[in-house]
Amino acid sequence: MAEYKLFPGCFIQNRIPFLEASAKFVFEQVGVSQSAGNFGCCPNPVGLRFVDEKTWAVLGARNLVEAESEGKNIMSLCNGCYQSMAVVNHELKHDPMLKAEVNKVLAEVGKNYAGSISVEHFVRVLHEEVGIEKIKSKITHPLTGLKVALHPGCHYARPSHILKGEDPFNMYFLRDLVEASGATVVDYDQEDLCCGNGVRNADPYTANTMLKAKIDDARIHGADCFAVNCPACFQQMDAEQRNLKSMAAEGVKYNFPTYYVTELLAMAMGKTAKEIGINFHRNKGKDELMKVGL
Amino acid sequence: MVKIDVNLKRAVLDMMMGGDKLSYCFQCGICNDVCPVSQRWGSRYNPRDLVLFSALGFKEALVSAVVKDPFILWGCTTCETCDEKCPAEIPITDIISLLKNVSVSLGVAPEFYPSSTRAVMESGMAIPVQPAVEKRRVGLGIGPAPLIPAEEIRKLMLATGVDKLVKKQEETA
Repeated sequence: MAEYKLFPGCFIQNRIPFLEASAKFVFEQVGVSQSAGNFGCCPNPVGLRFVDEKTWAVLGARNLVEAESEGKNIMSLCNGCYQSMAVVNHELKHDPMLKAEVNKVLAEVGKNYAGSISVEHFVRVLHEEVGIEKIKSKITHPLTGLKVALHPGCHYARPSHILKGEDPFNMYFLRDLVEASGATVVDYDQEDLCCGNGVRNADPYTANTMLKAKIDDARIHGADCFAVNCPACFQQMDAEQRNLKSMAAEGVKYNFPTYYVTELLAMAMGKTAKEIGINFHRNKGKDELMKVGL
Repeated sequence: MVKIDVNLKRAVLDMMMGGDKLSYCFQCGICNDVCPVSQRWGSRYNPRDLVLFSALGFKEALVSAVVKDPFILWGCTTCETCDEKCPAEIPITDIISLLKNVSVSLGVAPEFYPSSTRAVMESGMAIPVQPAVEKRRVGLGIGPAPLIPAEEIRKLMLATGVDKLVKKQEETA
């Protein structure tokens, strides 16, 4: 498999790097080779894009050019970075006027977008390029008995006419990866729904109600934890639970654990929770992990 | 009388007609039905209205409504469920994003958006490298973060003029 330029994204790289540690361990185990790139902000599809679409396209294109200069495709650890760069790539390939405008700005720093590489999400790489059988062959400590509610996240597969990975309302790559770890996937009604992170900066109350609805639904269906593949969802679902206290029903505590899919896989491949930094989670899920001997 | 902004109208109609199809919004309202925010707030957040009023070019009316209650626009959580379910394949979230650009250019946006733009301009990333996290990275065995080409990114942002946009918003705040 050709080497990828790894795009961890600012949130993983500079705030919650334990997700990067687990991903790099898994990549090493299953033979995904990757290297760092001279990347900047992706930029945020729910941040800078709303301020100025053109600047968003220029900075996205700048990252693409960095990978183009080495002739390597980008692999993102984050839904948002993946969506931003994949959509910018698509727009530049299909809109010659935008491409000319963007290249005019890039020329200021001696760069030029050609459109020669692709942007991939790590979940697709693991599922489609590595393959479930190879991943299973590396599992030494199956997480038998752990019940997992999936949350692939919105920007992993939407807009589907551009991202073309999976049907956004019938996704199964994450499911297969979680099942490969030996855990059991639990169906729940809100699986395809937004975590609420995207509206947090405009209205935290709405974001909290969306998070609460997801957790309540996952619990009703018997889940022990969430599995996610996006750091923005991870942050919303793990850290922001502290805000749910005031809306909790009597006697209900919000301490529902959330794990990155690579954390589950790394633990199933023999890493201890401590080695991959589960202790940095706000909700560590000690009881839930104990249940499966971790 | 309602004032019509031809530029906004053209931009939105262009988005509806973009790519390989001709289709207009016919106001079926599926976007509202499937929207998790609309389900919580009813008419306070109404993507169908945002599409209609922007396609008609009612910029002034939209902006004054956003000034009164930013949530009518910024309440969108960008889950893009509406785009996926829209029978006319209208890129609703793209239209909303365009309206947000307009809202920022007039100095009407939640504080996070200009401040995070400022962060990218200063450090090349929305979330800058932090010494405590660098230590943690080393402890986890993945080494410090790669250098960020902040100066180059700053140059590009000055070239697009986004600094002026943000300044306007900061002055209004």
